[in-house]
Amino acid sequence: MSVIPAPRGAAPRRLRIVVADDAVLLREGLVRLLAEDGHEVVAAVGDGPGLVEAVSVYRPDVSVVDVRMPPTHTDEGLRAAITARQLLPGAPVLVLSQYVEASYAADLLADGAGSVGYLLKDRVAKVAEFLDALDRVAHGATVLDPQVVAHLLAGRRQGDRLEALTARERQLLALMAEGYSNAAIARELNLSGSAVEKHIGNIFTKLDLPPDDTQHRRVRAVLAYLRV
Amino acid sequence: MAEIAAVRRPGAGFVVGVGRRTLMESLYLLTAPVTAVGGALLTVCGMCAGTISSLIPGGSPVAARAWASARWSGDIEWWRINKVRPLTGGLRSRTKEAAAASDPGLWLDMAHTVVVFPVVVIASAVTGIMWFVGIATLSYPLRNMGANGPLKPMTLYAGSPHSHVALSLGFTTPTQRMWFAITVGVATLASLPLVTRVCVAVQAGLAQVLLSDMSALHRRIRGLERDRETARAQAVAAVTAEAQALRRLERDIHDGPQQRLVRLAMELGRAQHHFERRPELAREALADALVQTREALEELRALSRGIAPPILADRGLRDALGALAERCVVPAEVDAGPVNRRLDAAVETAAYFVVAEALTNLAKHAHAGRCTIGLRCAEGTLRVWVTDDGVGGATSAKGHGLRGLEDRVRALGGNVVVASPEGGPTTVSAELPCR
Repeated sequence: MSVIPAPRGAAPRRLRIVVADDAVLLREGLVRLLAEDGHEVVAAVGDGPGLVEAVSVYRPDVSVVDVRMPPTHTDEGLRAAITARQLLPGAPVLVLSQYVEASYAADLLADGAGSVGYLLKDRVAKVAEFLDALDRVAHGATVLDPQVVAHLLAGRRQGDRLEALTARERQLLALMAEGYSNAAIARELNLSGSAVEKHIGNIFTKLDLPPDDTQHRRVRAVLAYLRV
Repeated sequence: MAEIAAVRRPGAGFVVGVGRRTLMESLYLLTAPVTAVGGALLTVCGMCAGTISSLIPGGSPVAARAWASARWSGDIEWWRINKVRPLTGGLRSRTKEAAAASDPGLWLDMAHTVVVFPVVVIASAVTGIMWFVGIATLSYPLRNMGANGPLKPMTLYAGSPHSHVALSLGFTTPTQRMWFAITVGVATLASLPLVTRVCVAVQAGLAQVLLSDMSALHRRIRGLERDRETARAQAVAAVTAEAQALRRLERDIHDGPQQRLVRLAMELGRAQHHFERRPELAREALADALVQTREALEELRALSRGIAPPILADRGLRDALGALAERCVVPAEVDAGPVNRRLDAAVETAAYFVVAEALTNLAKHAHAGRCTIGLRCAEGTLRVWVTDDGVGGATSAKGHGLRGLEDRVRALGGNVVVASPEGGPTTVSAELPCR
């Protein structure tokens, strides 16, 4: 991610967060990082069932979840996050992983409810960006790691509806998938805010997404883009 | 035959060869009734003894010997036939396995003694009669040298004096009779090689079918199949061990240095984040980052030791085990026999890791006060072991570190034994072939 300013002008509000990571080392680091930024970590758990329980008990604003957790040390965290979202549809989840796997992202996005993030663990090091991504996921955005986006695009076939999009529009859509706000996209591509609005409107039309809640349309456009 | 062979001329070698062969075959055929009767007795006695002693409790070793002796007659016949006619296509080898009533070869031998009997009687009778007629007729001129004057006409007849078929041959002079006798004698002896050959062929055929121990052949095939399965199992074990080792390595990297580096990045990020406004937090984060760097390096060092211990490559198994003992948290003593050469790298590494894993488990679970690391290398076998005075109860259950090592050792043709009764002591040992 490159530097993205907070989407709203107001100072980010204090979030109630659940942290799930089996590695004490990283859990402690994350908790401290979040606490120093003024957020409240309501629970820090070390496995999948713990996450599901903490989410249903505390109903946090967002959960930060490590993919790999005991007992299987495979994609336990991811499955727990999906389970939690089945219990509480749309519960915001930011999944962190040492590796990015496109199929993991696909599983997360499958319910189409948004409020999902999937980032490489090292992105945490860019503290401001990480905190911003967390904030945006908590507010319904979809934030994907550029590597995930690249993976998904590498595997896609030609000849779909996206063919109708211009190169510029596709570029815009890719940035949307990475969680960029309109203002950030405008800055990134050296466009005016209204030009960005216009392009996005075209994208929605070409992808046949009827106007409703903008945030929702954004998610669906991204999903169409990633063909989830 | 002697009288013809005495005349040396081209082809004499062939005649001598045929003569010698015919003599051997005749000897074989004429003695066959004796060996057949003796063999039948031997077989019957052996089988009776085998049956009776297998019914007596504790008589099974005796029974095995009896079953084995029941097969001697077959062995003798096989040996005899090989003297006159090399047998092919079967083998009759004595195996080291204990003889048993279930051995199909035993019953085939038995069948042979029965079936061969009429054949032996007829063949030996024909051979005997032909020799008798041949010798008797050829010696006729010698026996009747002095006879002179007219004789009664010579008559051949078959039957009793009361009822018979008679054929008058004439031959009223001694010369006529002499020539007749010589003709008959030469014809008989000349046809003898053919007759003995046919008789031997029949007996050899029987022996080939019944005595050529097909079960021995089957045993050999089974043995080869077993060998192949062992080889396949070793290959599977090697592949499994490698896959497990790689998975474990990935886990170790993920849980160790990778975590450290992520945390390091996190702390550096924190330091950068707070640098301007909260320098005390930035300083704290940097201090923590240093700790994480040191830890990550230490973990990488341990990991590389776990992949290919440098001391093992540099100085061999003895010194490497010594280094393991020094690092072990439980006081360890090394009892290493002489190893006068460098062993195969794969064998050394496997032995090293068995000891390393045993020590790791010991430190975690055994509550031991001290332990001994042993090493012996003799007679093509490398043996390493770790014994402790702990609480015991260790297993090499699935997913256990030792389990993966078992595969690795098995792939090299060795084995791992864990002896750990509840209450201790625990001994983990591995034996590996080293040539």
